[in-house]
Formats: sequence, structure tokens, C-alpha cells
Amino acid sequence: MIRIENVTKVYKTGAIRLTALNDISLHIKPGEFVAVMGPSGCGKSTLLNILGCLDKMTSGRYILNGKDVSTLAGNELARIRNKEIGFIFQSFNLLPRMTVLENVELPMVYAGVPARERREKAIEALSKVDLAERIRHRPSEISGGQMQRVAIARAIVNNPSIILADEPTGNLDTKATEEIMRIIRKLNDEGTTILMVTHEPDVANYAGRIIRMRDGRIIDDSPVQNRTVI
Amino acid sequence: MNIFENVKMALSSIWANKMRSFLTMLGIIIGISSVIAVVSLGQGGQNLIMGEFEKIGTNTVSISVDDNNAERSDYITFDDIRLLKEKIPYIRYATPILRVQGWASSATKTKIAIIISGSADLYQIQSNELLYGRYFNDIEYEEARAVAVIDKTTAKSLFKMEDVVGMTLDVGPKTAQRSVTIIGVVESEYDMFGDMSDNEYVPALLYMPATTVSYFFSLDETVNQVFIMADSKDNVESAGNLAKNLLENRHGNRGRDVYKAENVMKQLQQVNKVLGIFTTFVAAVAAISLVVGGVGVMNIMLVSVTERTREIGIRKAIGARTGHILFQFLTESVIISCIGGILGLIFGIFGAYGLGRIAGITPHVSPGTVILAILFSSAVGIFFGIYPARKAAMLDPIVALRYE
Repeated sequence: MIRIENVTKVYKTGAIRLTALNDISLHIKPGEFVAVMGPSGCGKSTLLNILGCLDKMTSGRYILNGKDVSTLAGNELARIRNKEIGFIFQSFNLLPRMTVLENVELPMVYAGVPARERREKAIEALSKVDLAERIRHRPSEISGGQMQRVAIARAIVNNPSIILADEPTGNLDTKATEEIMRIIRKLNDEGTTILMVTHEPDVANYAGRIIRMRDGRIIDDSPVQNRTVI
Repeated sequence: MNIFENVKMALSSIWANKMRSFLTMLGIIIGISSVIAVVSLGQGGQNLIMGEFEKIGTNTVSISVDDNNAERSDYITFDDIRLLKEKIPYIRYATPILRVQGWASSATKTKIAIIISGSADLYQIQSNELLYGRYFNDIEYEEARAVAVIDKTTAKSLFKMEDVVGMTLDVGPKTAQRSVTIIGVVESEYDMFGDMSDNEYVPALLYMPATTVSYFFSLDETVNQVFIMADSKDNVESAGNLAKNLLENRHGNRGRDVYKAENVMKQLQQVNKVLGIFTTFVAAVAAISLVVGGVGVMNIMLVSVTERTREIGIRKAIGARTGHILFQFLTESVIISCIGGILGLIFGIFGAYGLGRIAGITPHVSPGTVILAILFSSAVGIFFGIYPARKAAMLDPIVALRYE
């Protein structure tokens, strides 16, 4: 599913060189739920961005679903982000001027799905995250937990094989966190591969495997001992 | 992702910033409306002048004596004109043109009069529509009879009625007016300015045989201008040259270049050319404001791209390609310019008619101008929108997503 080999990412700002990822190799099998943990600045978000085809690596190889994506150009990467990957962000990243429904429809707009089909699929995705009502509201009119559920609906609407979540519960209270994690876990149970960055141990325990990072390297990679039961 | 989707998205973002969008459009509105107003007034003016010249007739040649260069013996006599018509087969009509200022009095009123006089052919060349009676004929010209044709405004002004055929007027220099019989009434030259018969300062206008006028004003039966009309367009040039030759032979002044033959059509073309250049020049000045408007569009689009950097990042993260973002912003700038263009077109047409009313010109708004205005405003939108749109489309998704 996901295989990276000897990936290095170096940021250059003027004379300063910062190595965010230092020769990382990693393999994630289909259907896995992986949590990435580590102190801030350890490179976990950089890893997620590279896996999500948002950022380019300095060196190394990245095989996604059997295809080498490290050499692809911008528009091909856009197609992969559109069809094969779903993103969930800490700050939700919904478009404020659009309604909930329009936000969920947007990935399908870029995929070229006809309007009628778009509406049906968006409503279907929204009902999967228990948000079938309030779909005509704007993001500013709903709660944080609801916003993250909209973002999840947007992430799954094109049926991606992988969901990448960057601190999905970082801006949420305990109750909403539990809600969101149940949904993500459910998606995993249905077969979607999930890679989630977090620094909360409680949240990480929803995953089946935890990768710990420090200073751009993986220092530990082990299954979760006492996995949270839902 | 189709055009309809793009337009919907662009409209919603224009609508979200109503005031800013309107102010941006204002530049385009002012630019387009001033270009439209200038061009339609210019074309209207050309039509007006064209109409005046066509009244005289396109086959007409004016032969005039160069006053700076002429001796007394060079001036054209009435006999010359009779000969022109007899000897030169291409000439269908020929008339001296003698303009005199005098006085005209009815029983109740006296006015300054402009008397335009010629032979009976004058009617063929300077033809206003005959409303009542008839024009003077060859016999009346040869015998210098005391007859006159007046225009409608003069009739109303001096007699308080239009059909004054058979009535008499006293015409001549102020101290020696003689009685003439009115035999016809023609349509007024400047009717488009409305009825001016009550205006004391508008002179009376009379058309009379040149022989009669010479006698009334004690002139020497010579003129400095002759109008001839050729029998066809092709013979205009030859008719003019032959007439010039004949006059030079008769007056023995060959080589001094005393006579100038000018085709009225050529004069028309010259005037049109000058007016065309003038219109183009003023339109070009107005078009500069359009460029300024375009820069305004570019400026606001750049602000918009910066403001929406994060939005662009989100769109890219969920799969928008470079082309999607490019067209989204380009559509926005084209729509702003196009709406501005259409509003400018409307204001421009209104402005042209408003100004035209004051200037006495009926503006001419051609479909070509309208299409050009809309195409041009779209072009402004594309030209000034492409840079901001490219800037948006080329943003690195991860940089855009992190933008606060």
C-alpha cells in the first residue's frame, strides 16, 4: 500500500539547513491504522505531507499502491490527492463561504463528477458521519466537532484508499474527540487505511500500530498493547 | 469542472465582496462608457456632415477663383457659365454662386437677409425640398425677373404662415429695396434645430436669380464661384478639368493657376478623414482610462489571491489542478471586466445621447462598436487577470495551506 525507502527531507532557509526527515523507510499494509507520535519538530507532519503528495522529498522513493509517485509532476499529484487520498486537518480547513454540502461536493467537482451524482454522494458521505441535517449551513454556523465530521465526509467522498489525518482532534474537546475517533475507527474497520499524526496517547490508542519519531528518525514502531475498544 | 461551475464560483466570490468588486468595475465602466460615447458621437457627426454634403450632390464640382491671385478680369462672368454648359458635354448643370447680404421686408416686418443666387440650375445643386410653388426658371434668370424662393422659416417669420406663394417682399440693400414676387417655398436648411421663426437674429433666407441680384445690388455680373454637376460619377474629374481649361482660355490666364476645381466628394472624404482621426484620437485618450481600469482589476485580483492563499491550499490538497485554480481566478477577473463593460456600454450610450442632444448630433451606435466593447472588456479581464491567476495557480500547496 504505502512504501517509502530512504526518504530524506531537508529544508533550506538561507544558510540554515534543517533535516526534517533523516533516511526514513516505512511500510504500511492495506487496512492498517497507524498513529505517528513524537514531540513537535520531530518530522511527523512533514512525513504526513510527503505521504499525502503535498510536499516533495529531497531524496528517496515513495511507492503508493504499487506506483512510484516520487517522480510525478504537479497535476498527476493533484489527481492522486483527489482520488486516492483523503485529508483530515487539525483546523478542519473547510471553505467558509460554501455550505456544508458544497464543501463535501468540492473534491467531486475537481474529479469531474456530474452535479446530480455529486449531490447524492455528498449526502451519502454526510450521513456516514451522522450529519445528514444542517447541510445547508455554513461552517461558521456549526460546532467544531461537526466541522471535523464535515471534513471527514469531504475526505471519504471520492472513496480514497488512504486517509491521512494531521492531529484530527487537536482542536476538539473530549466528547467531540471520542466522536471523531469512533468515526475514523469505523472507516478503518470498513477497510480504509489510516495514518494519523497525534501527540495524545489516548487518541493514539485507537490505532493498531504506533510509530514514534524523534529528530527526523523513527525510533520505535510497535503494535498497540491495550487498544481502545469501541 | 465546467465553465458553468467556474462562473457560479466566480459570481459568489464577487458577490461576497460587493463593494470592492463594484469599485473595481468602476474603472472599466468609466473606460468603456467614454470610448463608446466618443465613438458613437464621432460616427454621428460624420453622418451629419455626410448628409450635408450629399444634399449638394456627389457629382458636383466647385470651381472657385483664387482671390489672392486673381485680377479683375479673371472673375467668372454669367456668359462663361452659359458657355460651360453649352460646350462641355459632361456638364449637365452649371450655376454661378453669388451670396449677398441684404434686407427683406414684408408689410409687417424687416429682417437681415442672406440671398443665395444662381441660375435656374441652382435648384439642382443646392436642393432643398420644394414645399409650395416652383423654382425660378431659365427665362426668369435670363431676363433678371424680380422673383424669389424663400425657405419655410423665413415665410413663417415674415408672414406668419407657410404658403406665401404670390405674395411680395421688398428686397435689396437697406436704402434701395425693390419688390419681388415669391414663387416658391422650400424646406428650411437647419430644421433639425427646431422652429426658429420667432428668433429675431436668424436672418431671412432667399434664393434668387443671380442676374436679378446683380441688378438689385449694382454688381458687375461676375462671381468667384461656380458649381457644375457632371452627368455621371465617372465624368466628374473630366468635367472639372474641361471647365477649368475653358475658363482659362476665355480669360487668357493659363499658367497662373487662378481657378481651383474641387470635387465635393473629395472634400467630403477629407472632412471625414479629419473627423475620423479626431475621433480615434479622443477614443484613444479615453481608452487609456480603460487600461487604468484594467490595472485596477489586476490589483484587486492580486489582493484577492493573497487573501485566499489558504483557500487555494485547501483546494489543491483535495485535488484541484493548476488549471482549475487558474481558470477560477481568470473567470473572476473576466466576469468583473465584462460586467463593467456591459454597464459601461449602457452608460456610454446614454451619455452619447445626452451629449448628442446638446450638440445637435444624433449619435450612431453600431453593432460593431457594441461587440467590440464587450470583446475588449473581456480581453482586458484576461490580460490583467492572467498574472494574478497564474500566481494563484502556481502556489505550492503546502506553503498555501500553512499561510495564515
